[in-house]
Amino acid sequence: MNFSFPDDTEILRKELRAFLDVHWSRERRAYSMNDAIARDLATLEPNAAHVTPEEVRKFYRLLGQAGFLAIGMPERYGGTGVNHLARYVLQSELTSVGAPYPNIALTMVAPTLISVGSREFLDEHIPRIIAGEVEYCLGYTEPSAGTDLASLKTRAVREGNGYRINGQKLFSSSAHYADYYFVAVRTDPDAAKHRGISIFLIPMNSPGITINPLITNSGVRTNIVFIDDVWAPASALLGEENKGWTYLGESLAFERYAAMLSLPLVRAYEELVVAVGPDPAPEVASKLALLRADIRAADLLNLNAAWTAHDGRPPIVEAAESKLNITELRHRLARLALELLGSRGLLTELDPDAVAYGQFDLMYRHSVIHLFTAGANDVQRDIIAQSGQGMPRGTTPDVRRVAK
Amino acid sequence: MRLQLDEDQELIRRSVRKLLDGFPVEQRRTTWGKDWPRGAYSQLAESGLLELALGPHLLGQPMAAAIVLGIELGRASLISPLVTSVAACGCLLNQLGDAQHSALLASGTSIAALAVEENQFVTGALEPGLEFCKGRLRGVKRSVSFADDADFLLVAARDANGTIVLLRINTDHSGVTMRKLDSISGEPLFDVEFDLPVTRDSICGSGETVEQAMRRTLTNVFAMQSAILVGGGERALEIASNHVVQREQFGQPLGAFQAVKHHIANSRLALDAARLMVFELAWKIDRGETAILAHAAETKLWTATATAELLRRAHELQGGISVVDMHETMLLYRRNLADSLLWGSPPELLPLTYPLRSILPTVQPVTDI
Repeated sequence: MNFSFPDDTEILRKELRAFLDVHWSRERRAYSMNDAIARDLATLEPNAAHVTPEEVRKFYRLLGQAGFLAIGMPERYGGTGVNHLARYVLQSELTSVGAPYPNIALTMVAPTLISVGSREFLDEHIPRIIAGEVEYCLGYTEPSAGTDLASLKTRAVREGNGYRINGQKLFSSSAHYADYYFVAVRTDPDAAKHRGISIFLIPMNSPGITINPLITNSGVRTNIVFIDDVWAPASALLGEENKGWTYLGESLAFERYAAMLSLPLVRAYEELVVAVGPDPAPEVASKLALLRADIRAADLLNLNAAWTAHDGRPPIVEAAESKLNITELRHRLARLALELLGSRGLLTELDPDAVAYGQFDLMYRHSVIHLFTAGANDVQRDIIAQSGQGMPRGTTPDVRRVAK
Repeated sequence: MRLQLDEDQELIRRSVRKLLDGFPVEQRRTTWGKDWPRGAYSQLAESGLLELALGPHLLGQPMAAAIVLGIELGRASLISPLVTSVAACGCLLNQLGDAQHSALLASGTSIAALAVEENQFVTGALEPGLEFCKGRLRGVKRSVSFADDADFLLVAARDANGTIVLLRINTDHSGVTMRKLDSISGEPLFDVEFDLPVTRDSICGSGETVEQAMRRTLTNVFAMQSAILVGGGERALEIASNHVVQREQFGQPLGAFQAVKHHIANSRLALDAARLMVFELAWKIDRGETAILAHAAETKLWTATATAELLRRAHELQGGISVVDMHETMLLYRRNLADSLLWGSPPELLPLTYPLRSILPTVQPVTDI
């Protein structure tokens, strides 16, 4: 086995770090989170350390101008072609210093467009993604369709040369920043629930779209989106009608590992070691040593998922393992860090005495969200057991009924 | 980058597995704790596979090849003197310039046992308290694997100046007394008492030379033990998975219940991480990275903890059948315990990992070997 990154990705890593040294300040590196947090906190509590929505847009354009967003994109549009390891390095380096990156555009929209989108779709969206000029949000979850996403009820009905869409979406994070809605709707209510779903890409400023905020425990804003009689032309349908479930599954298999990356944990651990000091008590050193080993394991699982994709195989089990492991470890790391810091751990990033810019408090509050986003962790366990260890598909029967 | 076995490693894996398939679990079950499968050890020797455990670059084979061997030994829960004789004593002697004895051990012609543990294994190896004064060795070494099969013991001691000394002591010397321990591990374990004169030609080395050789040997041993732990976990998960797919309760396979699936998933995740960690260690060793003893200790610490939980789950999933009549899971469970506790138990390993304050390779602060 060989754990060395290819030379081109190592060069990319150096270029990215040089870029970040210029364009991403030290204070902002403390968050080790993502752009949504930084922007939402800026809206709630204006502060020099918080990046504003305008600054995020500017940063995306800078990433685009430097050519970083062309990684993985089709060569016809000036991209590098598929390179999963390079994109892994790109996203890892950005998230590890708390810098924003257009996650949904890079990990969900672009791969799906490349896979099934028409030439018109590609011509319209890919150059703008590469330039860092466009943002997207996902419209999946509904009040009665969470983990069982295929039960979604938002309805698109054919009308003339387009569709009329009605329904309600829940937890559409970044909807208040996005230009386009990547939304899953039901186009055939009579088909089996997985077979009547289609994907549309519609402008967020379409008449009939209403975005209402939901503020979460960490200050991050997510949204309820009401879709009332929204008109979408037939050209907004992605791929074939009623094939949406297949498209979602294909893209998720390749993209889940990228949703939660391990390098931010590595950086957070480094911050914790500094915060604890150079000569910790043996019991503290023991806890740090065990945590370090856990993070090393998480880092390897994450790399394994990226490498499997790079090797041309859908990383179904590998990505589920990576996502499950990283998200649970993130919560554990944050809790342990706060315990080691004692009462100082309660200070938020706005307090001048906050340790490591208050990132552990923020991480602790925010990390619970990751336990169920990008596929609930219980579902990840099902995927690992079924696809990795040959467990039967199926559900638990009513034991009480069987017992009778 | 390649996170899969290459062709050479696959060939080794297939060869070892085929060889060990000739020694089925029924044989191991009936001889457990009474004898060990000498035939398997001889065949590994004849096939030239024992040599892999000497450590990297001695035979032009990378450490990853030794890891492949270790995983297969772990899968088979094979009782053998490979770790003590080749990975420990052979590696030590080779580094101290005794290529002749090292080669004899690697060929299986001779067997040696490492005698270092006093109160603990790690401190007994790196900071022994056993006295070697005025030409005489006195004291006790604990839990010495395969001492009675060994032609000689390598004993870590301390001279009157407090300097570490490594001694080669023949096991048939009248001043060597062994007490066989009643152990569940399946391998012969002995407390060995020494009270004998030692001549100069029994001194293999002393001082910093021995300290350095011992640290490299511990690295080799921790890597091999980690691989064996991974192999045992791999086999236990296979058996448990097969059981829950085939066994039906409440009208469906156990594996269809989500709670059972989640036990399986947690085990699979831990095993995949452990395997990657062991191969990454091998890769680091082959690259000549620094602070490698700490990395090796961390790897054994993590694999021991992860696979212990995996074995516990394997029993829970299979229920009563797995704990009767030396079921294979039971053998693996015992071996997992033995492989975790011998050659450095988790609490002993923790302090060795403390130098690894950082994860990022660019700020690695410590060089130990």
